[in-house]
Amino acid sequence: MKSWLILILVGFAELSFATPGLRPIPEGACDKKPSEKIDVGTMPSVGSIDTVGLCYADVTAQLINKEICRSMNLADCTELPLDKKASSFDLTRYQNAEVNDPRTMREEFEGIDVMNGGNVKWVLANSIGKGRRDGFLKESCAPFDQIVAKVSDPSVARATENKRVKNIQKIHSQFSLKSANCDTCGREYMTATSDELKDDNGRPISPQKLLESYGIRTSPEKLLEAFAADTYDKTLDALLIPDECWDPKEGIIVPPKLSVNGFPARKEDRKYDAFISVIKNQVKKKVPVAVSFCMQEPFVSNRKKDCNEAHAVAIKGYCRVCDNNGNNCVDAIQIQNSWGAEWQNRNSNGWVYAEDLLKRTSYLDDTLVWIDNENAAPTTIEKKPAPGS
Amino acid sequence: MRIQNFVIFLTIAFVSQALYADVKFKIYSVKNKKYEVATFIKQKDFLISKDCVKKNVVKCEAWSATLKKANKIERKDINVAGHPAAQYCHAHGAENRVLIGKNNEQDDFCLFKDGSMIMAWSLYYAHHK
Repeated sequence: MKSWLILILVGFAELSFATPGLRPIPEGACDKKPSEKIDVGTMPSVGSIDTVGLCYADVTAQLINKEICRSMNLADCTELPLDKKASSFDLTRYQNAEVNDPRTMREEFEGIDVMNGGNVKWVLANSIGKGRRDGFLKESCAPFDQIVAKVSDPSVARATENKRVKNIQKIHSQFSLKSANCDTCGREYMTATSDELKDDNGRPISPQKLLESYGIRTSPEKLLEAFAADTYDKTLDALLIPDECWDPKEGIIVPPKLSVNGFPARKEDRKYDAFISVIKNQVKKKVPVAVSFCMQEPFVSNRKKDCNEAHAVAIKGYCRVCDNNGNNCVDAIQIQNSWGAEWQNRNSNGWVYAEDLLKRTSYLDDTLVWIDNENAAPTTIEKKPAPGS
Repeated sequence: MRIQNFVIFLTIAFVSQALYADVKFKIYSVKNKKYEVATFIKQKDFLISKDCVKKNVVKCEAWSATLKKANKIERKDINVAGHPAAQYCHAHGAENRVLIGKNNEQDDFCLFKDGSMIMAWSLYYAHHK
């Protein structure tokens, strides 16, 4: 009897299929007399990043949205409405801005990049850092599932040279060339049937009609404006974020004086135990922690040069499970992944072996990132009382 | 004895109902610019479009995909892991769509050219045990 837990913990879990770094602990192990178990409470609803490389943006949005729930006294964070949530898609505009980027307004960060990964700390620093509160777009304004339905998986498209993305890029470059020739040439190009572009049946089609067939239905003026942008990222930004979403009233409000923290800093301890200690401290404070790691097999390191499969998730719980004698203990962390609700369901509700995941971080600077709300001023947004309060 | 049989009958009826009950998700229609209801049914270990089942016969591209493992698509020039089940939809020649279920949770479904869908993780795990 006493060995059953060890058998389950070590043997059975090894047999099951697991994603590198995300090996689930046996279902319910953290519910059966764990020596210690803590969590941050409910999180915003589980999302999915489709196949685009936006895990860092989804995790960043989870951290921000959890903070909004706290500031609203919302007992069940899954009830956070779309018009109070930060849009993960829109957060990608901050991904190339470093922590010390001098830009201060959201509209200065032009361009949506759905092809590449990003850095949670940089995105947070430029969206809520420096005391800024205008850094977010409502999820209801540009819902991710609607956006990806239009983008049609540009990430895989790049690898497979998807015809649609190539055509959009071709239209962008042709439009730029024609517009340079005369004032009206760009406009004429967009509406004229072109032999260079073909519909799915191989018939020549105008750029505007072709874009409409891809689900991009926007006004001719807006199309011209979008394709007049000097980079493809800015074109996507103009095509996919509706004009009305730039109205400051469409932004969401976060509590003031939030700050961003990361671990380890340059001279801090980078051992496994120190990481577990930081995770436990934050989870006890009901603050989720973003963690970045490498899923590549074979694992070399989490450094950019060694890793082609970087991933990020939010940590929302910690538990320590031992056998009946209090020996053979293992740390488990509960993560909220951005791979849809079904992934959570099939992977012990996100409870995974902590050491498996953390060793894939290479314990690099700022592997763990969280929002520090200890100095946050009271929020001015509408408050919903917790049930029973 | 009769009561026992009645209880067994009720249990079977309840389990059948649970197994074959419709499961509804919301899907955004780009064409109509609004959310529409997509109805699914459990078939073995898969959640597939209800339209796949006609007169007790299961026939659609989503169901055919369950019978054959697809080769992984190599992704070059991309340094992010992405979503394995969503990528697996593409390996099957399908698109991936993010649908909204209970509690506003999102889930991925492979959308095939005939319009049939299957829950992406159920297809992925069926072929990656």
